[in-house]
Amino acid sequence: MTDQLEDLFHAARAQAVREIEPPGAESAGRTVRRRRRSATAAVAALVVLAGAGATALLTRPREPETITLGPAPGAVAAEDAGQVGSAYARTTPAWLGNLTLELACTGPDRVTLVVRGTPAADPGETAPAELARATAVCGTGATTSVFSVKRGIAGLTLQLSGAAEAMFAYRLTTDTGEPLTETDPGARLRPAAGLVRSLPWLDPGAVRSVDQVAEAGRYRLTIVCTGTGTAEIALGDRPHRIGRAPCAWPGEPTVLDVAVSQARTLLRIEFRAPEGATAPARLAWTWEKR
Amino acid sequence: MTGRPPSFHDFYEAHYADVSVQLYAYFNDRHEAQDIAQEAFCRALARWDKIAAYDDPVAWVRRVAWNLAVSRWRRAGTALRFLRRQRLEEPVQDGPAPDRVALFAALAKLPAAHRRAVVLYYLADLPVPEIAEREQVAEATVRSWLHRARTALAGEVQHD
Repeated sequence: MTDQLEDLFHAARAQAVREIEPPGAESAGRTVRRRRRSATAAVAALVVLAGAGATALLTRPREPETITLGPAPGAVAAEDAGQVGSAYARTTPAWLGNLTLELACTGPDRVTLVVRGTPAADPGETAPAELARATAVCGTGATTSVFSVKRGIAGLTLQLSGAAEAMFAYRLTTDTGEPLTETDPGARLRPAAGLVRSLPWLDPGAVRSVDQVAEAGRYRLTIVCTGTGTAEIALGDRPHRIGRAPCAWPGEPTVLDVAVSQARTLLRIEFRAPEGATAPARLAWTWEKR
Repeated sequence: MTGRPPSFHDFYEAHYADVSVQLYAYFNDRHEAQDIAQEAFCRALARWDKIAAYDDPVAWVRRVAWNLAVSRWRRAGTALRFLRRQRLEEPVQDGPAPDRVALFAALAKLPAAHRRAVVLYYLADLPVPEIAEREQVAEATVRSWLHRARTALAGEVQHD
């Protein structure tokens, strides 16, 4: 069989060779040339890309350094960072009290941030008032501006200007901790609890005789203070302290059990704010006879 | 090798068909065989200055061709499918000869290693030691493969 197999392979080879259609040495040459051109083009493309990359690295504006503003001096009311671009503006809720604005930038020239307050009364009819303005010289560290917002502000607008390609970082911090989202402390009192009485804004340290109790008796006094600090509650012409209502944003009801010994006793409220605080407070209260 | 190295053109004309037939016997597919052979010759041309100086340049081409034939690259077939798309329409041929068909059909039934051994031995005229080296097995193993392959082929061909 071995000889027969060799004959079979010999015959098969002769037959198969006749079936083979060689593409040709010229075809192989064309393939090799095409591959070389492709390889050359690929190398050239890599060189161009590498060159372009190197050029871009060398010629692009320096990546602005990361802007750090340091520890926040209070509760953060608003903050942002990025490229100045064009027409940058942001709005925040109203914040009262002492606000600290920090601004820093890198890149060309300087960047200015203006804070405007939208009046609570007749919003849209009264132009926003400028509350603060900070200008940072780029690359020289943060500039700080402290300003106070006492009342009548429904919201803040922060508007940035400067070279569009400059990078900025700003932070607005507050000493009140919370935005003023609700200006009417009476809304926190139960409607059925009795006639809601209220005061306009009280500045820190202000003392007001705000009410008069018509009859002697035992009363449930519910009082709400919106603000930062405490409201000291006293009764009488020669006031004696009957309690204290902590203030918050927004305020939470404080209930005091009060014994009134004679008719037409005066209710006196003193608003005490933390040292240096400027934010006003609003108060509302109700009486319920027991 | 003495004297001037062969030109690639002469080398190609002398050996392309042989290499293709060996692969044809292995795959039982003429197009695949021709594609792989052409790829092997293209690779030789790309470095012809060096390969032409070898004692046996066709051994290099055959080795490349067989490596391509069994490699994953070949099985993936991406490059060959591309080459096939570039191929010109071929003229219609006469039907294949019965001997070749029967033998190649019988080869196709062999295990791949046995088939390679037979093709390299009978069509490429490689000696057993060279096949063993190529397959990275002992010579006795190749002899065993050849024995089994012969037995199987004898049964198939005689049966047909």
